[in-house]
Amino acid sequence: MRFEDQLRDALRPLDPGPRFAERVLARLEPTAKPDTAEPSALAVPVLARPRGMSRLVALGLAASMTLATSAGLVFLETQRRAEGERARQQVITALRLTSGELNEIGRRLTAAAARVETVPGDPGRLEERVP
Amino acid sequence: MKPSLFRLVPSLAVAALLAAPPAAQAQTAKLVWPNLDGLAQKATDAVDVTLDRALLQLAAGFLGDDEDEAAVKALLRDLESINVRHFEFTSAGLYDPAIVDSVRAQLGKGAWQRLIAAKEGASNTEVYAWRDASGGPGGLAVVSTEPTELTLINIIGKIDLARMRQLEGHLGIPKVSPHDAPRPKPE
Repeated sequence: MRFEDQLRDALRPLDPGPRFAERVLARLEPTAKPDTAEPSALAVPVLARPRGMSRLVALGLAASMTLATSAGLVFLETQRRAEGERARQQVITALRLTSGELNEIGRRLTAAAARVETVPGDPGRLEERVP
Repeated sequence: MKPSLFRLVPSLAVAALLAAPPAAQAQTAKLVWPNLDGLAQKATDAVDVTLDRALLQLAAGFLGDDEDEAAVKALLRDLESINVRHFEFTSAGLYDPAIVDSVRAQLGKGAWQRLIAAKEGASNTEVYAWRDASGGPGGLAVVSTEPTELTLINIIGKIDLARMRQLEGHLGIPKVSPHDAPRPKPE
């Protein structure tokens, strides 16, 4: 058989047989009824009350969660405040020490300058005064 | 086997980095304190302040708006970090002079310049300034030694000494005017 004949034979239209459309619809039917299917676990809303839990218990749980979250936030804020206050104190301590050292060196330089005086009668000549 | 030039390039680059002058490697005003852990145990009073930029910003947020604290806040604005170690001892010779030598060795490198050195008896105070690339102030270091005291200060950032002086007499910072200096006795 020639290639052209083989190709024509392979591509020739086939008769689907009687009630073809009905058979196709019958196969589609099981997936066409989503409302009757059991809802999947993922479809349950996160905040939905689980079956069997009373409204009071659910409210208690929600209140506990809110309280725990608030307590956590208050704790973090307290911690941040304590850290900030500690940093503030450290800054003041550091500046007090630095300023103290700079003052001390200034005092020494002033004292050293005061010890050096011009020699009377010779303004260009300096001499150190011994206290 | 003769090594190709391409194989030699990474080795040459590493060698060039290692051979770079120390000043080029250490372009930072940050001083590395030697191990001072043992000193705190010997000291009667020890101060350890280590504040990076984030903590300085946090501290600034907790400073008030009155004149004194606003001045500190303004001072902190341009600072990158503050590191202070201060020890007081009951008797002399309780700290190793090598600690001071190690810090002084770092201050002899980079863009550090000694501004002032004042010696009085056994007490010695040196103030160093770090110049940034533009020649402006980029940091301050103070090394102060007394027989029973050791103070090491390293402040990085644009420190304004005029503003620092404004803090004298406030927030517990002592005010010492030139008139407080001991005057020579009249002859």
